[in-house]
Amino acid sequence: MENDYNITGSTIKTLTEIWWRWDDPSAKAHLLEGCVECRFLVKNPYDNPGKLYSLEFSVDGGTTRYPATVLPDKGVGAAAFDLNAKIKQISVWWFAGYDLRIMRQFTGVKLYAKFCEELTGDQTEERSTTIDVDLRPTGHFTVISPRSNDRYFNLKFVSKQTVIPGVLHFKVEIDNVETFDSPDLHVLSTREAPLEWLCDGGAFPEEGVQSNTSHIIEFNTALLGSLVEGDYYYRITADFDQFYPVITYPADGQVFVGETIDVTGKVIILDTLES
Amino acid sequence: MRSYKVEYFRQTGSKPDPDVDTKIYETTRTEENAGVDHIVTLALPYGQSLIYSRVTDNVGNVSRISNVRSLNRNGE
Repeated sequence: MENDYNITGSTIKTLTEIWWRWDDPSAKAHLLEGCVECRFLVKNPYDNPGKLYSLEFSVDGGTTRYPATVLPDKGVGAAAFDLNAKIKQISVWWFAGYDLRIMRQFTGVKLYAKFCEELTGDQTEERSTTIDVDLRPTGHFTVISPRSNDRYFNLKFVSKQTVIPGVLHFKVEIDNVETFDSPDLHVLSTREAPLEWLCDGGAFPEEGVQSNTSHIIEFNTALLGSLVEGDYYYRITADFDQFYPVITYPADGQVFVGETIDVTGKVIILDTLES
Repeated sequence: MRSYKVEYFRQTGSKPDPDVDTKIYETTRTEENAGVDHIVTLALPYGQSLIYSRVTDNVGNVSRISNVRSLNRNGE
């Protein structure tokens, strides 16, 4: 941008000569790392190094901004980088999986960036871009069986480790049409009926399976064998919990006298960076 | 700093539904104190009551619903 000298009393404010814009495309998702690579084009005619001054995000059209967690060891991170009159392409990796979590699909995430001179700290103007972020653990399964879609199949698959810690529940849809919307659709869920499932050969945990390692998941009921003969399609999706509430008191079925009771609860968090 | 909105509901239908059921308490927690037990006082109707809770974080992720607790009130 052009230099901008504003003289107010004895103070001279000098803006940087650094020019930059978001590259096209402005970002690339790296699903397995839970990151979004933000891409910029930057130059500075005075050969002074620059660095990222700030990277923030907002979601769902909201006005609240949150600081974006930048990975120090990918792209330029928060470190200074050399600049000259030639346009330079740089990238900054946003740890979106940590900041947004990976529980749902985010559409219209707005990213705001600003650079500055390393030596003087003079800042550029702020520019934004809007991207979609979907880091949900879909398609991260290796199906062991069935090998064909006949009516005698059983269902067994391996769930893979996720980039952010949490617990996983699974949903399997079985239907005789590829669109999974026929009246014959069967929806099998570990959340709804955990007793019908096995995890690593044992009982399926009620709270879900830890996602910091892979597991062999098996559906263990007579339903599949009872399906009428024909071709079937199946689809596996994972529900991911990174936090959830627990009511610790009272116990189920307790009897109370009076009009009020004290309820004790807490929020369990599973995806802190230290985990 | 992440923050969480914790909602308590009284279930009135056959299945917990936050859009239908009566919200009876809402509190905000930060990441630092989210795991610490907190006490809320609920008004209990006569007869049997079902309560459950749900958490929403500051970027709009919604947790699963807690296990529903069935409570009985002796209406003396």
